[in-house]
Amino acid sequence: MTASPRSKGFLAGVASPLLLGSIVIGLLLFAWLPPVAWHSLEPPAPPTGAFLALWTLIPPRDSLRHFPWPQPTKLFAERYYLTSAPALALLAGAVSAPRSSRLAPRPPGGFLGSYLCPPPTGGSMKGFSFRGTVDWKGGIRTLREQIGSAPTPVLAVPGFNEAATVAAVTDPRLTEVLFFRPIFPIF
Amino acid sequence: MPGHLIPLPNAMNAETELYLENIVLAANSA
Repeated sequence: MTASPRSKGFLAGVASPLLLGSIVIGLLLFAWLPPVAWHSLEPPAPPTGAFLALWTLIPPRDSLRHFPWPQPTKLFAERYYLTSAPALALLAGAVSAPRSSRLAPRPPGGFLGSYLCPPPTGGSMKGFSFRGTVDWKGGIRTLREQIGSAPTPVLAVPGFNEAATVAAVTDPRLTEVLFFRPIFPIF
Repeated sequence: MPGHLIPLPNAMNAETELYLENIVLAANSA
């Protein structure tokens, strides 16, 4: 994980070994599977190219929220692309499949569609959160009321998996992410 | 980190215990 990913980190995430491996596996699957297997899927119909492209591109599109320009808080990890890896494998296989296949990929449509859809892991929309029902803001608000303006030291434990070591929580680069302000406005 | 925040790891192990001990020692000597 990096606190402030730049374009280099984003490209590394897009072209990570995980996704490149998915492409290879997808190509191998379509090369080895007999074409008749796809035509016999009745129902359900095989996913369309637009759907696969949408599935592939939504995580990268959502990760743009963690770039420096949308907001002061940055968080980027290659594992965000895990959810899109199967779609990329299927899409790669569909592109390489013969034209007679029922899979007709339309990447431009899916690409545009993915940017029209709301991000699946928003979590910051007013009145709606994907982060569960824990009232972090309420807890922090109560804590602030208790502390007031006194210079009382406050022990804070972030919930991120990356905050398991002393080195992580004391690393200035990660501090702004692990204790980021929307959840811990006390800082 | 500014102000009065003392960040703590969310995993308890020997390293964390030592870190906490140092915090307590610093607080007691202040």
